[in-house]
Order: sequence, then C-alpha cells, then structure tokens
Amino acid sequence: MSYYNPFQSQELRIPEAYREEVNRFCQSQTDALAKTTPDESPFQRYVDLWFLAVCLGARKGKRTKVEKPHRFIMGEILSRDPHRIELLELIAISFSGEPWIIDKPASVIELANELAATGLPEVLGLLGDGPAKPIWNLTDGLLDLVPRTYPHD
Amino acid sequence: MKFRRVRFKNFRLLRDLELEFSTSDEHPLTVIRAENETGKTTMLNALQWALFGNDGLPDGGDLYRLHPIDWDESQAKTVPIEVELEFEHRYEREDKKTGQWIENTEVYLAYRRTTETIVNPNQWNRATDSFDLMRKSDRGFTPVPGGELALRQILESNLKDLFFTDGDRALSFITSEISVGEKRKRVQKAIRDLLGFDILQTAISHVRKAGAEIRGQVKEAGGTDDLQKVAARISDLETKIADAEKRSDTIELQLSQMAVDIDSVEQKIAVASAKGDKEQLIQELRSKRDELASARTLLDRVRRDHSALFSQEALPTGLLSEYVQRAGAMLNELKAKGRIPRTAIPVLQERLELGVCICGTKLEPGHPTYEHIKALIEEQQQASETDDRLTNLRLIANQRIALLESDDEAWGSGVKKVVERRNELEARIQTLEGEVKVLDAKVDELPETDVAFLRDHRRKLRQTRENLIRDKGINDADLRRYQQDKKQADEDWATLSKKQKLSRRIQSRLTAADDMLAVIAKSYAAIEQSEIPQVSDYMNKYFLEMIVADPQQNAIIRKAEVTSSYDIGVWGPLDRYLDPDRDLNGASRRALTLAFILALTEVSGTKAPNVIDTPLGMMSGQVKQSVLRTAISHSTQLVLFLTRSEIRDCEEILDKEAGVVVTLSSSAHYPKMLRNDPGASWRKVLSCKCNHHQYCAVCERTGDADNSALSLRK
Repeated sequence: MSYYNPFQSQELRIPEAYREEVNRFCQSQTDALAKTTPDESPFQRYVDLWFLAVCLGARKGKRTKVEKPHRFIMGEILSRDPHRIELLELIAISFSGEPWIIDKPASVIELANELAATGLPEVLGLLGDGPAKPIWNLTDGLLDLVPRTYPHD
Repeated sequence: MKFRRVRFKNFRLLRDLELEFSTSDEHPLTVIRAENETGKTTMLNALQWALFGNDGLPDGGDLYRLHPIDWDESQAKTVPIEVELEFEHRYEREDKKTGQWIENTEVYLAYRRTTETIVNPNQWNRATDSFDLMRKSDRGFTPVPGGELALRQILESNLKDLFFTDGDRALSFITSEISVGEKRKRVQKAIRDLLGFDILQTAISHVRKAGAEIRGQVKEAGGTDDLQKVAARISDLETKIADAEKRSDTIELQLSQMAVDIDSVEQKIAVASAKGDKEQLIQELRSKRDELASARTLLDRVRRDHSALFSQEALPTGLLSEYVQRAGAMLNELKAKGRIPRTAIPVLQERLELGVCICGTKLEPGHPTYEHIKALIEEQQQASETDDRLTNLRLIANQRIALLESDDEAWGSGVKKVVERRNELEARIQTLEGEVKVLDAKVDELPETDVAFLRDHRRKLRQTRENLIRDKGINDADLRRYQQDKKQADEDWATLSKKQKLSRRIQSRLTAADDMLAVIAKSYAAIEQSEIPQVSDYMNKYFLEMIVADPQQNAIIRKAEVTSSYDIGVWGPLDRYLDPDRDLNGASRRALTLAFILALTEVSGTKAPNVIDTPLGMMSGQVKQSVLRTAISHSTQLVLFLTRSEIRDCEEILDKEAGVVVTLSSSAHYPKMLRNDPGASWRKVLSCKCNHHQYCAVCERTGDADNSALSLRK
C-alpha cells in the first residue's frame, strides 16, 4: 500500500563533516568484508541515524545550517516508514507554530536537515559515550532521554 | 593213454636210462624186473614228476632230491635233470561226412627238466622246472601250446594215485595204522579222483564261488532298482553327513576363534573406556558446539532486533513527545475552532443543486451569486486536502500521546525485552563456550584408541558369531536329519535286501547258478550213489577172483565191499565183518587194494596205464598168479615193477602176457650182487632187455650162471 509522501523529491542531507563517522555506524555503509555487527554499527541504514539525529536536534530546539551538505538520499526513502513522515510534519507544525507548513515540504525537510545537523553530534556522542560497544552506549544514552519508560526502573 | 617210451637223465640213480613200454592190446603188460635198491620207486617218482611236476613227488617234492646223490661236483655244481616220456593218446571223433565215429591216436612227448645247484652235500637249490608237451607229426615233434594244461586235458583228471601205485602204499586204504576217518578220506579221495568226482566238486566249488560273486555283485550293484536308489541315497547321505560334519567342525573352529577375537576386543574397549569415551566426549563437544552456534545465531538475530529498536516508531515518539503533544494541541485547537475539517462545501453544493440560496436568492448559472458560490466551492475544495492531512495529523498526534501513556508500547519496553534476551543468550553462550573449552581439553587428554571403532568391530564380530551360531544350528539340524535319513535308508536297505535281495538280472544269474549247483550236486550224489556200488561190485569181483586160489582166505571171505561211508570192508560167513588189516593176511590185503584200484579204473572207463610197484609181494603160489592174471585182464596197460621173487611162479603168465620185459640193475650192486663190472664211475641204474629167463653181462647176478632156468643173452 502506498502512502502519501510529500517529501519524496526532497533531499535528505547531513553535514559532510559527519559523513565518514556516520558511515561507521551504519551497516549499509560499512564494507561488507569488514563484517561489522549491529553492536559496532547499530544503524541499519543512513536514514535511521539521520532521523534519530532529527529527533535529538528537535529536542535541542535548534536549527543548524548545513553548510556542506552530504545528500545521502532522496526523501522517497521515507515512504518505507510513514510514521517518520507524520513525525516530521508534527515537528514542523510544533517547531513553526504554523499547521499549514505541511503544504511546504521543502521547508519541512529543510527544517529536518538542520535539526539533524544539530542532533548528529548528539547521536555520535551517544554512540561513543561509554566503555561498551556503540549499540549499548547508544541504548543507554537514549534510555536516559526517555527515562519514564526505562525498563530497569 | 599208453606209455610208449621214457628217458631219464640224472634223476637220482637214473643218470642215463631209456625204457620202452608195451603198447600192444594183446600184450598190455610191461614187466620191469628190478631187485630192491635198483630204482623201482625212483622210476615211479620220475614218471610221476614227468607228468605232474613237483606234485608227483613225495611230500610235494621240496625235500626230495632229484640229482644223483654221488654227483661229481668237480665236473659241475649244477646238475641238469630231465625226464622225457613219450605216450600215445587214443580218442574218438565223429566223421561229419559219414557220421561214423573214428578212432584216432596221437603220440605226445612230455618233456620236463630242471637243474639243481649243489650248495653242500645236504643242501641244493632247484630251479623252476620247465615243461614242454609236443605232438608227433610227420615233421617230428611240435610243441603243443599250453603244455601243462593240454596234458591235464589228456589225463582228464588227477590220476596219479591210480596210474602209479606203490603196492605197499596202496595198503593205506585198509591199514589200521591210520584212523578210520583218514582211511575213509583216502578211499573217498581215490574214488572221487578216479571217477571224476573232483571235476564235479570243482564245478560245485566254481558254481558256489560264482554264486558268491553274484551275491557280491548284489551288494555292489544294488540288485534291484529300489536297492540301487537306496544305495544311491545312502551314498548321497554319507557324502552329506561327511560334509555337514566337516562344516560343523569348521564352524566350531570359527566360533572358538570368534570368542577369542571378541574377548580381545572387549579387553581393549574396557581399557579404553576406563580412561573415558573419547567418541562420546567428541559427540558431546559437537553437540555443545552446535548449541553454541545456535545461540550465537540467535544472538545475531537479537542483535539485529536490537539494532532495529533504533528504527522503531516508539523511539522518536518518546523522544519527540513534547513536539507531538504541542502539535496535537494546536491541531485540536483548529478542530475546536472548526478550521478543520472544512464542512461548507457540501452545503454550498446542495444549494447550487437546489438553485436557492439560504437567503432565498435564486441560484442560476450566470447569476453573480451562483458564480460566487461556485468559485467558493472550488477554493474550499483546494484547501480541504491540507485540512484533511491536518485532521489526520491531529488524530495521529492524539494516538501518539495516548501511546506515551502506555509502558507496553514504549520504546523502553522493547529495549527491555531485547536486552533480557541478549543477556540470556550471551550468558548461555558464555556457559557453552566454557563447556566446549572443558570438553576440548578432555578430548585432547584422551588416548587415541578409537573406542567407537572397537565397538563397531565388536558389533560386527558378534554379528558374525550370531550368524555362525545360526549356521551351526542349521547345519546341525541338517546333520541330524541326514543321520536320521541315513538310518532310515539303512533300514530300507536291510528290508529291501531281505525282500529283494537280488536284482532281476543278477537274480536270474544267481538262480541259474543255484540251479546249476543243484544239478551238479544231484548229479554228484547220483553218481556217487550209483558209482560207489559199481566200484564195490567190481572190487568184490576182482578180489574174489584174486583170492579164489587161497584156501585159507577163500574159506572165510564171502564178500568185499566199499560202503556208502567209504569204508572198505570184508564180510565172512554169516555176514560177519572182518577187519581187512587184522583179519586178512598180507596177500589178501594187497589183493584187496589192487582189486579196489582196478575196480576204480574199470568204473571210470579210463584207458590209462597202471604202473604198480611190487604188487605181488608177500604173495605166493596160486594167489600170486591169480592176482597177476586179474590185474592183466582188467588193465589197458599194466606196468609192473617186479622182483625176481615176485616173478617166481608167474613165469608162464609173463611169458604169455608180457609185451615188454626190461631188467634194471644198479651199478652199486657190483661186485657184491652184480657179477660184472658195469664200468660206471658213479652209481647208476643200468638196463637191459633180459627177461625172467635170461641174464646178460649187464644184469648177471651172482649165481645166475649156475641157475639152469636162466640162459645167457648175448
């Protein structure tokens, strides 16, 4: 079933400066021969890391201009995860205070790319923050961000 | 058969001697005048040797020296010995043209010779004698094939006891010096020999032997078809039993060896097992490794699940809860204000369709109101899509907000499940890795003995043993069955042999043999029963003729008889039995034995010479004459060795009956009894043709010249 994707022609971008590091933690980007595991590269795809970065950037409430963008994929990829389209629109409505912003997909994606540019250092920081493997560092870090539902409480 | 001539060479005293016999039917008597120690008995033995070989010699001849006892060994150690007997044989043959029987006479020469090599005066070695029988023809004597056998056919039977009679020895038929049983045997033998009974006995023996052979063939050939089948079955079963027994022994041996092998393997297994079962450990290790691999696979899956947690909707929902709540509130406000969703379009479209506005204005195309409403509807329709999406987002925001209130739907719940699963799996993997490590160490410590191989080998050995035991059971069952079958077959054989002892073919032969045997036996009995009385009658006749002139014996002897039990008996007055040896005088005893021999000759119909040594001894006067006359009248050819005393009172008879008279002299008697020097360096028998009225330079004895009854023959 196809889902309406207003962002399919929009470019998803990250700052080029994070590209290489982002690659490390994305299974789809690592060399197959390296046989990296999810523990080392917790994200299956680039977009997964990008979206988490959007979320963390949104939490920061700060937009960061992407001076040297790395256009890693088109917004079409979002069709596979409709909830991300919905959340991006809700972020944009909430962040802009203007519900009809959703009629401006480019603006929404631009917001998302700039939020991602803000959140990327957060994500990368979580991955490397701790003695454990990246997946555990990330998990622990994210659980701290959602303390109300921390399973070990 | 009649003797014609005989020649002796180196046969004891008969070193070089040749005699002729009378063959005249009118004068069948040949008289050989010879005093004691002049070679009469030697000549008798020499004649018998010529015809019968060693069987004709006393006691079989082995100890009977043939060569002259005073042989000059300086001339030769080996002495050639020969006897050459010429005889005529008369027989009848049927002329096929005329159908008449024609009498023929053939002249033969029996020539027997041997050599004796002198080892010492008391020991010599005799070579095997050789014998030739030759038939006289226009070209001289020609050898007859199968000489001995041909001679036997001419002689018809073993007649030497009849041909050659020692007067003294003939008394053995009646002498009391031997047992009654032995006398009976001798009489019986003489009768049987002379009458051809020996042929019948031989025939009986042959037929019996043939019958035995036929019965033997029954065993060999099986006799009947049934017997042959049973015999074949027995043979087959015997082969099977032998094979089964051999097979049983082989299996026993294999089982024995198998027990040793199994025991050996079990000992190896026991030793190896005491240190641990490497294979079992390896199996456990393999299992643990599989389990470990499976756990690692699960862990990889859980890792992917863990990774997937970062893509799940719950994570951004949790992280963006404030944004969601804020946007939701904004949209709810729009909803509350009626901004969303837009509802004017259906109302306006309804008014256009009714053609009347709410205010009552008539709505018609082209009318400014109508066109305004239409433009408003299009504008509203365009803005409505965004409103719809906002409406939808409001619902979604509200749903997310609701989810944020539920722990089960929260991202943390998913993380909890994954982490627990990961922890569980990683702990399990850690345990398994430890166990694998321990097992690895154990396996490394175990010896290289392959227990599994040994167990497999033991299993195969046990299987082989089971197979062998089964085979042996089957084989033993077969063996028992074969043995039972064999026993049954043996019983069948015994039964069939009794019932069908002989096969038809052999049965018929055996029947023929039995019939033949019965015929011969009956013939034998018939002949014996009929012939013995004839012999008895002739003996009685001749005996009475011989003793008629004896007033002493004639007065008391009434009858002589050969009984059915082969006793020669004499009966006196009142049929009183007289013991021949005790109740008869010497003359009568000799007469009786001569009568017996002549009777046998008569009954047998044999035309053969009677050579009798000193038959008239102990006789005198008329008895002697009557005995001589009787003997001459009933003989085909009579050769008598007579001493001068025996001839005395019988001269006239001899003059009348003798065809040939020969006188023998021994050189050894010179000069004591023999008047003239024979000129011989060695003792030997000399012969001359002087009769009982003559003497010559060879035979002249002391006093002959003074005897007026004798004349010198020149």
